[in-house]
Amino acid sequence: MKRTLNNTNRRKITQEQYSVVPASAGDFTNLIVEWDLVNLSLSSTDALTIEFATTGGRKRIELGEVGNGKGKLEIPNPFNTAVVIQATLRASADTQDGPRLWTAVSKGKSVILAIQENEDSSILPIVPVPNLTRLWALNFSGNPVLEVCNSQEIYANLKGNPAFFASLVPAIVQEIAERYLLGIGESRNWDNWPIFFENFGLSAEELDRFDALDVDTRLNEIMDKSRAIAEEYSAQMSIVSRVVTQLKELEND
Amino acid sequence: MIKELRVLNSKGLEAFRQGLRSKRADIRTYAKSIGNSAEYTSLIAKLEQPLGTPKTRMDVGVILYPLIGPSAPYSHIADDPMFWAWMSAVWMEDIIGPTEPVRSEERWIPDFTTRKYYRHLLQGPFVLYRAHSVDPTKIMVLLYQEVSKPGEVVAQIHASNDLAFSSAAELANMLYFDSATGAIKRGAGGNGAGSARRLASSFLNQFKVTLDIVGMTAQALFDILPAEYDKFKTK
Repeated sequence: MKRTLNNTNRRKITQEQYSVVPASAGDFTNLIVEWDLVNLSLSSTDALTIEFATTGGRKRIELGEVGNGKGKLEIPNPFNTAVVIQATLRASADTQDGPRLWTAVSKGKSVILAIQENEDSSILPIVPVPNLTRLWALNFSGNPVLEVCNSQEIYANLKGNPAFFASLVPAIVQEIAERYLLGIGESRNWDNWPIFFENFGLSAEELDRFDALDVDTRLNEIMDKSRAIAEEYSAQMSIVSRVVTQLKELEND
Repeated sequence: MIKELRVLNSKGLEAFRQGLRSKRADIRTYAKSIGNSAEYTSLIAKLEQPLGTPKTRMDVGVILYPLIGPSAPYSHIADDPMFWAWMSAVWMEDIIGPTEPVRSEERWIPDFTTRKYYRHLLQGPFVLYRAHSVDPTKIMVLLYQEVSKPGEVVAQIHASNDLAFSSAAELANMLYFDSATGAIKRGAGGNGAGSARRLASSFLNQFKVTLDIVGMTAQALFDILPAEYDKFKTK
């Protein structure tokens, strides 16, 4: 079988064109995958596949045919004990004489599955604190912990507001990224965060490069990189559009 | 004999890490003392049968899969770095001899970046065994080695999730494992024509950009290999 590797008309699926989120808060047994590939003009019979990877495995789920290019599906999470997984969306066409040919591919997208309360398995456990003088704060005495104000037991109200945690997440990721990049304390040995950041280009080699920079350049680059990671993560998780939708629904109720 | 499953606590992890970094001569017995210490570990479970001792990478899977495989009673610790650090601390004495070098830290304490995690001497073979648990003998090329000597073929194939957890691993087995000798064929290591390094970097990692290699069978991959692999096909 002969193929021309570089001439396949393969399209690029951008990070904004698909999202992967837990089907319900605090429950990671199912995921909702949503995609909009209309502008790629794919064949309606191309097959859509999503792959999930952790350090210990890789599994794929067939999402069906591309159809009109838009879709939303709830699927089982093949790694429901993982706290971070990487998702990759691809479309492919069958070839009569052999394997499927990719017609559109995305880059990997990190999905944090476990920001939840007091769970040992959580990448970021949440702890309500009665006397916290801020609405929230990160505690870095070990692995990062999110402390949320529970003065007069307001935590239940905060938790029930869809905008609250959604608006925190990018700021949390940025603050944690800064500490990780600076290498403060045990940050480079935190559980789960190194693989999360690796999905944003912070490989061991890249960390070495940051560490070798002079102080001013290093600080500037760390601030820029942390901000970029937070914004990319926010876009990947479609945080703004999800919160807008939820708030609109509340308004209509 | 190991009669219980434990995980290192943060104090134990730090003690183990410092022990490795200080290159102390008694690291094998020191590591075992950390692993057996109530101060440095937390108990997960007492075992009905004591654990065997692994000689090969395959043994690691055979011994641990019934305990921490996907449907096993302690599956929740299978991806816990504290468990793997503990496991390597208590088994270090069995894994390397008294004069054998410890080498890099990530061989003993998992480095959870995707590029290095497979270097852990126990977690590396275990995740391969788990991913191919239907028939692990189909990836003997990645599992036949002594625990402390994974070698070049493992480094090339396991460095990429796409290859390690797909039929590409079986393809490597078809090409490079000599079932008559129970070892890899001459020329599989290194960077010569048809070597595992070229299979990973020049064939599979390029074809996967265009073709759905993860969805292909090992035989289908075998059938489209370029001529440079012929010498391994025929042996």
